[in-house]
Amino acid sequence: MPLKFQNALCTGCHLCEVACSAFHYQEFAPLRARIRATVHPQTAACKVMACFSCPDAPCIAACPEEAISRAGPRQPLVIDPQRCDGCQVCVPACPYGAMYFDAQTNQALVCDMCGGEPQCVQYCYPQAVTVGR
Amino acid sequence: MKRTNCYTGRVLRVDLDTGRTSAEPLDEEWAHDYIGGKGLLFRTLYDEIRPGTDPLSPGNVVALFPGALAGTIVATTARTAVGARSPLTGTILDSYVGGGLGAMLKYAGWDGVIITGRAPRPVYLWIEDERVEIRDAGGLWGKTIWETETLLEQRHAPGRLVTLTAGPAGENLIPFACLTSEAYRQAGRGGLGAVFGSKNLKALAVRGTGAVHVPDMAAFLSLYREMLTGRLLTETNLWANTDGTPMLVDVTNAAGVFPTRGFTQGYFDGKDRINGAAVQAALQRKRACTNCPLACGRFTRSSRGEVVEGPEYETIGLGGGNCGIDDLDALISFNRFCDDLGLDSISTGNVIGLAMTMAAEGVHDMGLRYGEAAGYLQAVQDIAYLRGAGADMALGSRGLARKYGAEGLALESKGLEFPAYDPRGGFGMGLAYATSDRGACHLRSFVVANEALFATMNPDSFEGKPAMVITDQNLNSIKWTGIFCDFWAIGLPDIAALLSAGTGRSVTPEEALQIGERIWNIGRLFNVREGFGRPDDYPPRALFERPLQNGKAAGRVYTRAAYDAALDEYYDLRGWDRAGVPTPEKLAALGLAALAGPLPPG
Repeated sequence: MPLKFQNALCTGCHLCEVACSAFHYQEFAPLRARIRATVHPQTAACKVMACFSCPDAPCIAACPEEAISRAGPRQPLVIDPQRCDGCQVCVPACPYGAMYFDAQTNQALVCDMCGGEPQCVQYCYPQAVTVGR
Repeated sequence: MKRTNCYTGRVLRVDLDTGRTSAEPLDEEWAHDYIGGKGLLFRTLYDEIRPGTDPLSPGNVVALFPGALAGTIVATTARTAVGARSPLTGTILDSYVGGGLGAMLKYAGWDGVIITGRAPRPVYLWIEDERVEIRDAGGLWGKTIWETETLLEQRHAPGRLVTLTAGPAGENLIPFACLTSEAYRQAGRGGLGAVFGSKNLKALAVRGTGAVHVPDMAAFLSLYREMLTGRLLTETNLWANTDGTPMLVDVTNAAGVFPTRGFTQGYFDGKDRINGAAVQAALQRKRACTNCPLACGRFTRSSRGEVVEGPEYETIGLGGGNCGIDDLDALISFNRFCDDLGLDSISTGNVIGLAMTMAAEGVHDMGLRYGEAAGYLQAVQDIAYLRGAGADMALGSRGLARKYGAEGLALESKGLEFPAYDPRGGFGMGLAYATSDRGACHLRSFVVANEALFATMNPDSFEGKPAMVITDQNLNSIKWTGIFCDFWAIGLPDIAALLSAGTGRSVTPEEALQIGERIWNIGRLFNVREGFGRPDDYPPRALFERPLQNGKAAGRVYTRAAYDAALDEYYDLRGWDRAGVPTPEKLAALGLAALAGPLPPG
């Protein structure tokens, strides 16, 4: 089951991001996270988003290198590191703003559900990020 | 270079006189002896500020040190210690800003920032990882804090950035002007906004794209995870999320320590209109500091549609009860004016309350009356822009009282106005305020909790208080190297374990507490060097002369003899002489021997 997001519950703490990068890269690096939160300081309006493997997945078709795939509907997307050349065409192709880019590896970044136990969910105290229906 | 612990290993130096910026290696010995946050800040200020420096002169140094664990997953640690010599008190000053500034500085690769000199014209500092620029702030000068934040956001979009900004109050050198980050997070106390203003420095804007490391991620996460579920997300701390600080209003009123009508009363008859329940009814949503699950920030909306984050307990106490204001809408406006103009709401509520008391007692009339909202809200703006009587109030409580012979009415220690706990309802709190390094502060020792809120100690006696105040001061000094927030009642063993796991060296609880004591003592050495001593460690006259008129603590005052004895005991237990100077033996025991002996000339 993919991730589910409730912006109204998000407090903008960014713990999802550091939990994500700690799991994948053994460092606390929000800009290497596959989930991102934004918070507007003056209004506290928050938005949290990661790939939830949407039905259309336009990133797959957008990728000129055919580096993006998934095992089936609602299954996590996979970036083939051998094929991804860091062109970033997939980033604006995603209508949800859920495809990111890792400047360090020069590769696309997408949620892989941490292999089944998403770490962002573990650390999201207000439950703005949960494993969805 | 890939780091193997929580330090980036680099400190940014900015000389506004010459416009030069440079990266310096973090002093490893200082990191060992002072860890981070308050520790590195105090060590740096002691070293860099020449004795006798006018706080508003180019010679003052303003420095920022994030907590050692800032940027990690550990709750509350994204805080930053900001300090200088205070223009309000003349003491060493540390003030803590929440939000995400500390984490962002670390992601940008900096363990600290040291700013010296004065720019020839208004500037702001743009830090994007290792790239640092001193930029023209001509278009920002004169703008309010939220206007400035919006302009910086537009200028440096896209991408997340964090700013730290002085408002018009800071530009106008109001000695209790604050610095603000993310609209509502302040380094509030002691006048850092004025120090920025004096340096022609409007703001810092930081974007960091890097990482914070720890020696062993799996071990770090497993250690923290156990604390998180077992000792953080528990009833002890979750009040910050469920109720927030406004819930204290009922508690402190019941204890008779709620600042009311210029600290003449300890119980506010209008408190039900500004208490926790009243704020909860206006609640819109909650906001967290970076990497903190507690999300104590509470956005409220007034019946007029005005939105702020707050009011927090201190603002309710000083801007509400202390000014006789029981109108939540007015209080939300007060909160908004203070935050947007860049004034410390604690000091502002104090000085306006004092002006009201001066009028009520026939000392001097500035037209302000307890409970009259229009004049009170105008006063905030008049202070920030030095208009009319605002120029007098902008002197702070001590300065205002001195000017009109009202010293007996001003509630401050070393010139820093009282927080929202009246120490006539908890005598130890008077000692805590008076011996605090930066002046009256409730966060270095919160002994009033034991005395009045939980009533585990006798409130109208000094018995046992000096030892407790000292323990608190030392413990919080190490706590604020992390920097762990006041809202996490974290124990010393957990502090030591997390600092060890982050820094990669073993810090035992005993060693941690000694580092705290070392930090407290170097702060004291700074103050002694500036001429502070025993007379400055006494509470204001009101505590000896003017009993509260109502509430549970009504009728109580301090006696000179009892306070003398408590202060003697405090000095003895600290290993300071009876003039309040650390003895050479104490300094040697703390590894500060090199700083002992004759003080350098001013």
